Amino acid sequence: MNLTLFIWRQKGPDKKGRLEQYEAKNISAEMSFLEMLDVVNEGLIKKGDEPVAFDHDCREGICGMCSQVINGVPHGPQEKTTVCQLHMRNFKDGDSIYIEPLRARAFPVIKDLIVDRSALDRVIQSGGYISVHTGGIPDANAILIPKENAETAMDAAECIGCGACVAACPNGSAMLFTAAKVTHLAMLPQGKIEAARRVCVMTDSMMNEGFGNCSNHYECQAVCPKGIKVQFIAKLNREFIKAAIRRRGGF
Amino acid sequence: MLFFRNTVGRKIVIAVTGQLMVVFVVFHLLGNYFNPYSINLPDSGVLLWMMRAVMLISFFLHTFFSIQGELENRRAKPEAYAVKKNLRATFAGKTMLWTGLLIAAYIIYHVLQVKFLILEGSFQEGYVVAAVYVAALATLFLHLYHGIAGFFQTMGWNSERALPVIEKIGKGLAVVLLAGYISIIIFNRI
Ligand code: SF4
Ligand code: FES
Repeated sequence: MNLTLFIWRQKGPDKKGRLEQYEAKNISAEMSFLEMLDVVNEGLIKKGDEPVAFDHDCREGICGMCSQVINGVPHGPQEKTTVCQLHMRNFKDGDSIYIEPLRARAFPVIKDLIVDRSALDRVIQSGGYISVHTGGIPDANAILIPKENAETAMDAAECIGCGACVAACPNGSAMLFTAAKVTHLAMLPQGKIEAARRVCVMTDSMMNEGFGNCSNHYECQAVCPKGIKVQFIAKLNREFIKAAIRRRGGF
Repeated sequence: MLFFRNTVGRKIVIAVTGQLMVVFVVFHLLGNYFNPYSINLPDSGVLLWMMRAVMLISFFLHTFFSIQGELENRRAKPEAYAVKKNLRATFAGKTMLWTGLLIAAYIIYHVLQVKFLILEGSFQEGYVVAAVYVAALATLFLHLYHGIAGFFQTMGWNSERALPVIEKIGKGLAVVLLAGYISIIIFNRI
């Protein structure tokens, strides 16, 4: 199939960017979206032009590096699918495709489609950890965890930190990401020690990094490649209320 | 104070104060229905003044934190997409600031007209006033269409099974309130 691409080109962080038009010829339906871009880039290199810079790593949907807004939707049209796992059979011959970087103040563009998402790492650093005893390996099953809690924690732990939720949110909020981390740790006994502090510092750190407030639009859940649910944000809110009641020092 | 400083805290303040005002809107409708032309409350008394104080405080907290949040949200999203497709966000949700400000303007107008009798006219007499009231109700409807369901999520009372039910209840209540108030205007005009 042949496609017309409109790709965001930006030379550097402080440079002005713009959409440029490219033709993608003879693309097979079996290719992934990133392979299609590889083909386009090979053409550009042959012509002596600068290839399009984009992030990717595992190309199997588990690392969260790939990140593009395709026709107005982070990770493109297929539900619960990262860009690297999106196949060209989702498009038709003659389609026009707009490809833009994730946009948010907290995600400054480095080049073309690559943005700096280290703000998410700093949110994790602020409180996304637990206290453990050092020393020998603990016995298996020494700490009993109800099956449902373990499942919920695992569901929340599925977040790959791709930042699509931020890109889709009209407020540029990272609440779904933060809620996934808070829920993941709050569901497990190991996470209880810092639970009250964690929810406060992580949400504060999120705001300090320049993300917006959550106002229940639920765009995040609709684009999350891992199916992280807004119910985790409700869980974060419950954790916050608990923390506020418990931590009188916080008032 | 944690509730005024933290983003989640402020959201909870917005949700709770908003819901207190929804409770008022419900009682105001009932009062109008069963005791027309009066607010159906004693003219003085501790209870009345307490309610007024709660409403006034709610009004200011709700407005202040909403505007503050909205300004932060705009800053968080400085560059627009050339193409953006919203999958879940509604018109009602995205216009909360504007519908909120319009409702605030209407409340001031309504209080000056009905309570302080400073502004002339009433919806029973003038078509223009009636039109303003209907427009205000439509705006309130949009605001509550997003706001009531959001309250449950913000308080953490949400689960996968509850969400569709909550959304239906929230939107349903917004419809009922709209229909209730508009019916008062219609009954009084015909
Ligand atoms: S919550 Fe979903 S969309 Fe957001 S960072 Fe995690 S995996 Fe990506
Ligand atoms: S490249 Fe790793 S998730 Fe897409």
